[in-house]
Amino acid sequence: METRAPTKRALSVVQSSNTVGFPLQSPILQTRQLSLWYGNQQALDAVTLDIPKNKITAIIGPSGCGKSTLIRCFNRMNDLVPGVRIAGEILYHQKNIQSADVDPVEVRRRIGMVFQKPNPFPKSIYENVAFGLRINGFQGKLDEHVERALQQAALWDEVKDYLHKKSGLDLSGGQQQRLCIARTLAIEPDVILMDEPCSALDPIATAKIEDLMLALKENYTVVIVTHNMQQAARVSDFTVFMYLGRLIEFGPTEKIFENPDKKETEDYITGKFG
Amino acid sequence: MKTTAPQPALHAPPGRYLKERLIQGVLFACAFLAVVVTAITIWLFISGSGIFFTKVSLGEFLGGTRWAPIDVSTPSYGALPLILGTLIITGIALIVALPIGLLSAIYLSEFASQRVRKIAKPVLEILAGIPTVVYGYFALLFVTPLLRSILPEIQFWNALSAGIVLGIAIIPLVSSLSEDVIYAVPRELREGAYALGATRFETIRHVVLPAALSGIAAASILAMSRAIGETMIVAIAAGRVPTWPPDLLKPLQTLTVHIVNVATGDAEAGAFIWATIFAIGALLFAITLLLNIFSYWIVRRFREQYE
Amino acid sequence: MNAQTLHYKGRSLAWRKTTSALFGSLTFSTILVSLALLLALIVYILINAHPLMAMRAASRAGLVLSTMVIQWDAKNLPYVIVTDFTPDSVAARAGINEFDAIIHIDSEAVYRSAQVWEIIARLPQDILPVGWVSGDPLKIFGELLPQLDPHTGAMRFVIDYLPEESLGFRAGLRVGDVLVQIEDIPVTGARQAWEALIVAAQKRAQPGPLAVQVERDGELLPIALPAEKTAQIPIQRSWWRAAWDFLASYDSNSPEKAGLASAIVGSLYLVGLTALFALPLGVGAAIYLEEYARRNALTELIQLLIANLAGVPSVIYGIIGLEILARALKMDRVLITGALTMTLLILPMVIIASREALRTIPDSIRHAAYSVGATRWQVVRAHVLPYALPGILTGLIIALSRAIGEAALLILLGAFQYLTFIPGLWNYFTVIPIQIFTWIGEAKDGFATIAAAAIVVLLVVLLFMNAFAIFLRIRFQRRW
Repeated sequence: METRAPTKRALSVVQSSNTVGFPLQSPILQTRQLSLWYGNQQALDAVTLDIPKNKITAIIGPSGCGKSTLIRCFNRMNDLVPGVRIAGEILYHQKNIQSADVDPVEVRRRIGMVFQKPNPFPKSIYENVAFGLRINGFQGKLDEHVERALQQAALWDEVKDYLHKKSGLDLSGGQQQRLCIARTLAIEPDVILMDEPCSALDPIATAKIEDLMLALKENYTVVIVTHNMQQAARVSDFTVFMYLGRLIEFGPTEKIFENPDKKETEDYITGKFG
Repeated sequence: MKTTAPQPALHAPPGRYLKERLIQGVLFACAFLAVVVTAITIWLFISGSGIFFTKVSLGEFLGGTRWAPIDVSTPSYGALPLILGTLIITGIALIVALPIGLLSAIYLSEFASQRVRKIAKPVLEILAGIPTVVYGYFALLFVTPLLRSILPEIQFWNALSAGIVLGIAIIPLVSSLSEDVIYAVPRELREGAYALGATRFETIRHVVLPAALSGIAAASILAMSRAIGETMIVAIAAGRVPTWPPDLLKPLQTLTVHIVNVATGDAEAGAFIWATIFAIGALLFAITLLLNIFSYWIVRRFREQYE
Repeated sequence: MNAQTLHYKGRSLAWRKTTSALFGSLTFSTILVSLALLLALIVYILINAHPLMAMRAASRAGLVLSTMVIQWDAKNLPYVIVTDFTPDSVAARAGINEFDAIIHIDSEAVYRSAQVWEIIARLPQDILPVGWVSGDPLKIFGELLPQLDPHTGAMRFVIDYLPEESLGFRAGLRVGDVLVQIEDIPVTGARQAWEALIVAAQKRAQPGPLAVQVERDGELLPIALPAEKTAQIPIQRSWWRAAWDFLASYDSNSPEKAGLASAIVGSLYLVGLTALFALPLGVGAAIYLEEYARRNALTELIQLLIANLAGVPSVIYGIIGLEILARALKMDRVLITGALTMTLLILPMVIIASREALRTIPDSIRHAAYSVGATRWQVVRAHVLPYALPGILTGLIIALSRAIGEAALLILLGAFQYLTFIPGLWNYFTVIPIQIFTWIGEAKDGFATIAAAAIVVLLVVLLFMNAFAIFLRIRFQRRW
């Protein structure tokens, strides 16, 4: 694997993160000098970052800053994009998930993902949730597990009467997204990655999802990409600000929003660009 | 940094990798079949023609004007009557199919309302779906008698009616391929012309058609390739006799029909006549392959232009 | 520059608008041309298939006919005889025998079998009035012996033997009579005497006795010979019956007995087997290209070759099937070889259609499945493939409807057979389009009719297949 000398800026980020109360006691996901290219175009530039366990970490930044690309590295979704090249390390429980003996399928089994646009399968609600369990060879009571996942996603009461009758596509947008969350929860991952999960939803549905996220952090680590700064401020414990493929600043959310170290962060937070 | 949890086992469970690779291998084999079939075809035609060309010179084959492979005393293997016959039939077919097909495509993509399209498209699709034996029947028993009322000297089997009906049969091909390329011309180009006060006809003539030209050329080449390879209409309606010089009003034979003749004849396997179908087949395969690749190449260039 | 100072030279706006409108009408007229051609084709086929009902009705009654020709004064005079005799038929019970000549139907002289079917088709009742002349001269005027006239030296024909139950004996003919003239036709030969009978009978407006002149003891004697017998034959004119008979009988040398049974079974087998082979291969290749393949030179090559194979003429595939499968692999020209070769022909179409169907499945579905830990194959099998299946099947049906109408390829694979049995997988076989091709090539009256009828059958099958494809498309259409 290609290794690159860290740039000055990236180094300074590492140092700055150390100065604000890091290292974290329990980082679950880490990147070390992570760079990524789509063909010849570089999308991530030497990103080094620790994601704390059982917290909500928000990644913000203007469009094209690489925030979605970064989150997709954590469960190796970028493998599916042709022409992607990655340098640096992505560590999950200190284990480099890019190494040859790691099966991306196993990674995704532990690091779930919720997408920007709700993408339920065109199958019954029950089958949507049960799919992950079935393919992972779940031994146990499927019905109970499906019910629990739907309850965790706060969808159970709305759909319990037509689990097998309604297709996932028959639900409203917000319900669809919660179904996708339930689908992710069903396989009990460690980490849930959310790639702008509310961008296609109305404010009421958004509020429900945000409540859900707060409830989830008891048991899960949540990483959320959002273009909505208020959302980041409302729900996250830590915030990452990215710009042009680089990690500019990382710290506790209040600090990023109230007293950022970097000028770019402040300009973005205050709406000077974005 | 200290680890709070033991390192997770992220390697694949035993067997999964193998199973996935096995499935991928099977799927790849399905796709690779295309390569195998092409390779076998090329090998078959080269080796089969080899036998033919040990006895017949290439010059005689491509330059001779007498095709008489079943003549026991003085067999002759000049394929010009077949080649010219094929070209004549193809020419007539294109004269019929290109204008009608192209104008239909222009109508469908530029003039037709949604309601008319809903009727017109299926008409063309049905024409495209009619088997060629049916067209052959139509040519022999309907079009030829019809032509006889204008041209009394036309014979029962003749090139003209086979060519015309072959043209009818490929109208849908020309029309659907052309419609696709005309449709692919960006709307902005049209709007640019309309904004300058062009009428619809002027827009089509000066903007849409020039922009779609390469695609239309590709469609015409594909139609030509199809016409060259068409068998049944010609075998039924054009007679199965090679003639020199070919005459529109008389029977003639094409490359494909010679192959049918050998297959329906009573020659035993291994007879030299079977070698002729390799030579003829190789010629046919080479012509259509070149035309197809040429049109594939034009279409790809055309796509890149607008995508 | 001020707009008012612009001056345009050239065509007026009205002229330009008219041109545009005219061009629009021209393009529309091409659609009308296509529509007219389609209608002409269908109507023509239906008109040509129409006599089938009368043919089968006649055949069922035992009147299986052939048009024959008498060479007379350097002219060809057609007449109709009964062939393919069925002993227990209605016609046989009425006394009509094999080779008897049918002279009148419903008081109209008939010359060709097609004319008989026309009359049957327009008869007001289900009773067929038939007038016929026995094909056996012995039963009419016995055996004739050539003899030289002792006075003139000319050749003349004397009745040498005459059974007592013959028509001639009952009409008054006797052994030793010289047969001089039948109506106005002089007798110039033994066979010709019978032919003269036919020609003379055809000239009459109604069945009735013929005026025969004989010379007995040197004197001319007129005898009224009731050579033409008549009967009222009941017939069953039913389209259902005719269609069923046509679908259920085997090929025959007589068009009114020939049917499509072997060809239909052959076609169904062929299409079924082809689907069986082409679906997994085509879908497999499509899945590989859409879901697995990286963009590299080999993938590009495979795509190019598939696009090209789609344009290779079907006779070329026929040669490949014949030389590789039938001869090199010694499978012989049987149904299964035909199906395998047909698979090669439609495979590119199936692959292209399947790829398009797979491409309609949005990536978000794939990503959703991957994100819960599905392997590539699990994503394909549980999601992509099932959701794309209606589209794939639609493409398959369209490809199969090409296969069911394909003739050229199968001619090379020996489907050019005269079959009178239901083919099995390892049998020689025939299919509907080949049967049509064969019948078009037959000169005999009636084969054009059954070829048209077979075309109707083929088009109906195609109609059902396409209707099913449209049904699939509408029923399972999904907006993502």
